[in-house]
Amino acid sequence: MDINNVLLITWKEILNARRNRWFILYTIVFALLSLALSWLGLAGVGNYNLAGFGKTTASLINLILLIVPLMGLTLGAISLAGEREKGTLLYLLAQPVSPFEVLLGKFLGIGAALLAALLIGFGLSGYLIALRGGMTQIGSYLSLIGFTLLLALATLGIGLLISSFMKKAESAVGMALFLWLFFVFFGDLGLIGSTLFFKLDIQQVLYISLINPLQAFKLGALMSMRANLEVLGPVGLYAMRTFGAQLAILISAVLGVWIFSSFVVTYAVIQKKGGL
Amino acid sequence: MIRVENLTRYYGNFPAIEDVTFDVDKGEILGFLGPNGAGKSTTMRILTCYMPATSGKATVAGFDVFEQSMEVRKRIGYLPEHPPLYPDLTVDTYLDFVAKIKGVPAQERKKAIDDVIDRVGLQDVRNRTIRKLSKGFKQRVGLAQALVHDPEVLILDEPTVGLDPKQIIEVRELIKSLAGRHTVILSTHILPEVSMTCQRVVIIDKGRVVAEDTPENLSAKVKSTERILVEVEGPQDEVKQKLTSVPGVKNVSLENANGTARFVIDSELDKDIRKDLANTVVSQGWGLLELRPMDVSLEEVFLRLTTKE
Ligand SMILES: Nc1ncnc2c1ncn2[C@@H]1O[C@H](COP(=O)(O)OP(=O)(O)O)[C@@H](O)[C@H]1O
Ligand SMILES: [Mg+2]
Repeated sequence: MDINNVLLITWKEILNARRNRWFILYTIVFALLSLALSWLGLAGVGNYNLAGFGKTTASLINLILLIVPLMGLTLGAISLAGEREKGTLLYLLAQPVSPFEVLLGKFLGIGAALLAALLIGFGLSGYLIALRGGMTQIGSYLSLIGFTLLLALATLGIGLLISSFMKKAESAVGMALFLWLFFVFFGDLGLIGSTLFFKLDIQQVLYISLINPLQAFKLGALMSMRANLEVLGPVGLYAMRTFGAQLAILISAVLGVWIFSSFVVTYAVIQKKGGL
Repeated sequence: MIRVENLTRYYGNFPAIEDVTFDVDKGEILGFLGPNGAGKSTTMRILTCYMPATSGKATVAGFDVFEQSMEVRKRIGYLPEHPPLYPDLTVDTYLDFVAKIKGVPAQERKKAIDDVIDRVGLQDVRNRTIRKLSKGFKQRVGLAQALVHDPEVLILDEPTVGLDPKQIIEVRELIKSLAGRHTVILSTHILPEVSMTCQRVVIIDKGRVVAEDTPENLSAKVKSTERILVEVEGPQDEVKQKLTSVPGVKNVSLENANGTARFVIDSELDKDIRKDLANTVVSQGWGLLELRPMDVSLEEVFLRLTTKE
């Protein structure tokens, strides 16, 4: 592997993202919504009886749960499939670079652009919160950012995996939207349903919910703001009791495994197909 | 410089090219001529390492396309049928990206990009986003990316398709100017394009090479006959025999026969035999229903060249 080739493709992806309509749209929407929620949170509409950063963090969690996976999944899904459709993917692969370099470069580049887009929103909201509500509980805000970035990369990885076997950009995005709905809604409902149906005990429910990267993120974010029992729910409480301070590490590891394994599987798919 | 031996490629069970063999010398512009679906793009995709062949061998600058593909990739500039552009990049950034990926050393890069922008005439749009360029300019960006690393070998797949007449002339001039400095394969389904730009022609049809010649010889072959259509009322075999015996006639073929017979007559060039044909028919007492010269379309040229062998 030639690291220069990887960085070159990373750099190209970043330049590309700067002018990509979807990227621009997502960045603006995320920044506006997080600003609006922070402002509302500061105005005392927050649900969790917390102050400053703590309070806004809580209201941001649901926004992030909706929009960040959507960003990661769709941007990932469109990346390879879109280039395949335009013919530029074949072109890249006929250059003196290896498929692995292309894949890694793309992942890093889109990942960096995605993180930058999110950090713009977090930065603006953070500034507003600090200005109006002071620095109380800034720690929980920072760990929220950390978990969000991990969630973004994990869903990007899954999006890229979709992209590796979908021929058309359109169907890749369709598949991404389906998975998004699945993670967001079915993740929750399905879990409740199967808990009732299979009479799972609380430990099993915890492990199953950790498999869903969105649930893992939610647990981590809630825990980091030291939310009360009511918010955490029984599973969260159980997780806190069992793992204590290690829970943050466990959740980061879960998301890390998602990032790593989706990338590895994507590469395996490509190898198996004999090309991107 | 380029050597293609018994190259075969199947898509599923369908042979897109079979046993394709030809050579290109250093500095030569080779026209790769054939109708749509002949297998031109397939051959070029194999030569440029876009995809493997089913069997056969190809070398570029002495490197095997399959075994030493990285070496080949560095030495080739390729303009595919649809130029592989990144619509969200500016012309400059895009060419910079291509130059880097092709391994142009940092200190030569700026000059290489400036040069190629001059050569293909992109000075006025170099800071524009590619998405916003017209079709003609996009094609030039496509050519620029093929040229930016000053490759030994250029492979251009139908580079004038979709351009307006003025742009076509410009692109052809540009391609002509590449001879000597680069070895070029240019594919096209337009016969005159080959005579205007190429030194040698390989004709491919239904996946097989059917002729290889200089454009001069080729046009001579095509132009050496003139076609006349004659419709006659009379006994077909006899009419055909009589028409064949008219001096200057090279070939007579029966087109369709329902009551009357239509004959397509190939005659020698620069010899108007219409009067002789008419006289022959009339003197036999047959009815002459129609007699007119036919235009030789490109389709027919292909047909003739590709069904001859
Ligand atoms: N990806 C593909 N899958 C299946 N058949 C293909 C594919 N690409 C080309 N073909 C077929 O192979 C033949 C040659 O195509 P091509 O090389 O594109 O011809 P040309 O460039 O001369 O028009 C055509 O019959 C075409 O339909
Ligand atoms: Mg073609």
